[in-house]
Amino acid sequence: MVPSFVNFARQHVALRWGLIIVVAWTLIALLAPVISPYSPTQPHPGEILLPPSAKYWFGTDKDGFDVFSRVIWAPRTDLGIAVTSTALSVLIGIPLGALAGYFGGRGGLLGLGSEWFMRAVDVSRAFPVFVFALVLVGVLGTSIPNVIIALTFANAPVFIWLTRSEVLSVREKPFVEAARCSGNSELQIAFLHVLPNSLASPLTQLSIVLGFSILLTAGLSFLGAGVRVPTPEWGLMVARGASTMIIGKWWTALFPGLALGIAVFGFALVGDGLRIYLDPRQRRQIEKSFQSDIENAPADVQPVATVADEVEASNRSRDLA
Amino acid sequence: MGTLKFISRRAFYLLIQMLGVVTILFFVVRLIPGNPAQTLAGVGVQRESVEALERRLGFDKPLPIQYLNYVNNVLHGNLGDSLFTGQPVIKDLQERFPATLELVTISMVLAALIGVPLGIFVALRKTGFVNRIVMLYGLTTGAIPDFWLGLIFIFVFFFLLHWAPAPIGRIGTQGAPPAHLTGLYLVDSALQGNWKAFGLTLQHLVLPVLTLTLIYMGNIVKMARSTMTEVMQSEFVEYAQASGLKRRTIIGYALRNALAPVVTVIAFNYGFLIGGAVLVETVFSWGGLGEYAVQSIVNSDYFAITGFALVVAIFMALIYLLLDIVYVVIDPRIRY
Repeated sequence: MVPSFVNFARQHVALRWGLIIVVAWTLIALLAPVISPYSPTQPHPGEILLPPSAKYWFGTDKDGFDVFSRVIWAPRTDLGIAVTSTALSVLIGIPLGALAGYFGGRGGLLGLGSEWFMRAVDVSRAFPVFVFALVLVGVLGTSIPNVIIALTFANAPVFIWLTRSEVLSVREKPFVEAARCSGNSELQIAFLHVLPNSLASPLTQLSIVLGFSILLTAGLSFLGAGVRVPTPEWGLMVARGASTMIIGKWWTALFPGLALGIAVFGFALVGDGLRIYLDPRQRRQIEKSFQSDIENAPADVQPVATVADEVEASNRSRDLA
Repeated sequence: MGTLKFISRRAFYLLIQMLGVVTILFFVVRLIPGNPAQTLAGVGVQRESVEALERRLGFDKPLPIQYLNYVNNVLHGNLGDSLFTGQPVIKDLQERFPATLELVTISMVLAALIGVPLGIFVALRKTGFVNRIVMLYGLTTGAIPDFWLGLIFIFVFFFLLHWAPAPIGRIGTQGAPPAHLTGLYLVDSALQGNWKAFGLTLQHLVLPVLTLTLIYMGNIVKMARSTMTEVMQSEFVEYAQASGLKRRTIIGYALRNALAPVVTVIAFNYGFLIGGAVLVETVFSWGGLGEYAVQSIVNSDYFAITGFALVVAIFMALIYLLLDIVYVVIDPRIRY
């Protein structure tokens, strides 16, 4: 699997660039204390709103912070929140999705519970992800842990759905019957036999959700519902730079927004590449053409999780009707 | 007949879903760590007044009673009073909804009118420089933060070029808003022949609409391109080609078959934006739903937050309902 993935990444230009971006930001986040020229939280009094120069590469903002240093430190916050919340939503969403898928429609207490649980999950999707996260943070209060909690709840349904729908088809396979005949308990079958064979589509979504979470974190902070000054965070930096943008001090908001966009773009590319990699039909096409490119990337890419999920949601609601 | 039955069933499902939404919102507020009444009253307020507030809001009653009261209130359009504006939340929302609706509707109509033909054009051409640009554009829009793009536009078109007015609200400071009829400034001013207000509104709409259209058109272009590509490779198109039909006729056939997924994406973008335009609204001090939501979150104004969420959920649900009806119209094969 590993060598073929490396080969695939080599051929698929978009995935390669995505990986480069993601790895680069991760390294920057880890090495921030070494590479950043100044402290991200220590203002330089008297050196306010200086344009980019040899001393301050990205200039300074209205508080006298060095924009470059803060852009370098920000992925610690943004990636940190995104990775933590995505990991939590995977840890919650995949097991719940597996249970709901394995026992759903089977009758009995567990079957009934699964159906009700899925209805509840469907209802939570009546809100757009961003509004859902915004309301949760609004009610819980603005702090980093609360942002993580809100994003976890906002993202978990994607994983619940994807895992459930995979499990629903995998549980009908003959090997499941074989496992049952060998005397496995239902839970053993669900988690040891069915779940490992149902992970492809939820895991593909991982990178996309990660990128989207970065965008959500930044959006929340931009609105004042996320992290607070002086924590280095891209969205917050754009928000602080917004007021100076109108008077022509473009560097305070331009650079953090650019950094944010590049990071999300990287995760979207990786997610997209993984999807093609795990879809043998599309992969063969690409391996055949060999000169793969952004042009060859599939058109129905959904870098932002919402639309894809939403389409799924509507399909579901139509099925019900 | 079948369609009518479907719509009534679908509407019933919508009611159940709304009940679910109300339930979630109820619990979200009740699960606030600590005492909501205490938080509402503020810090350092005497115990008696906190208890009085608790009684007034019904927080001293058992949870099931509280729930029934809440549902009853919502059904009567009573979403509580905003702590910040002092008005009933429903009134606040009514005042602000048209601002968001106007902005989002214009953006989505433009995105659809430009995005769909663009996607189809690219699908029919398959290769070339324009295609590369469009594909790159489609990939990028999912990653660019819309609030940031709005700021860049302000810098370029307001600060550098002076083409656009200052980003302060729907009409700026040079003119008065038209008398209230629908709350949609363009409609109101046009109906009243108030062309000064119409012009000013239009000027102020340009940048936020440009921002939203550019960002949210990406999905539409991609969907239009991918479904059109797929349909053009399908067997019935091959058959039509083999039968020697004109290319224009074939494209016409293909278009009808490619429409449904594209309409879906447009509808979802639209529903998403009613709540999701928050960020861009903030950048342009738009005074719509989004700004109200942000204000209420900063002030821990719970009734305002839940009211906002409820309006967004209802709007989205109505769009989904409409979408299901549109499917039947555009695709006669769909029968419910």
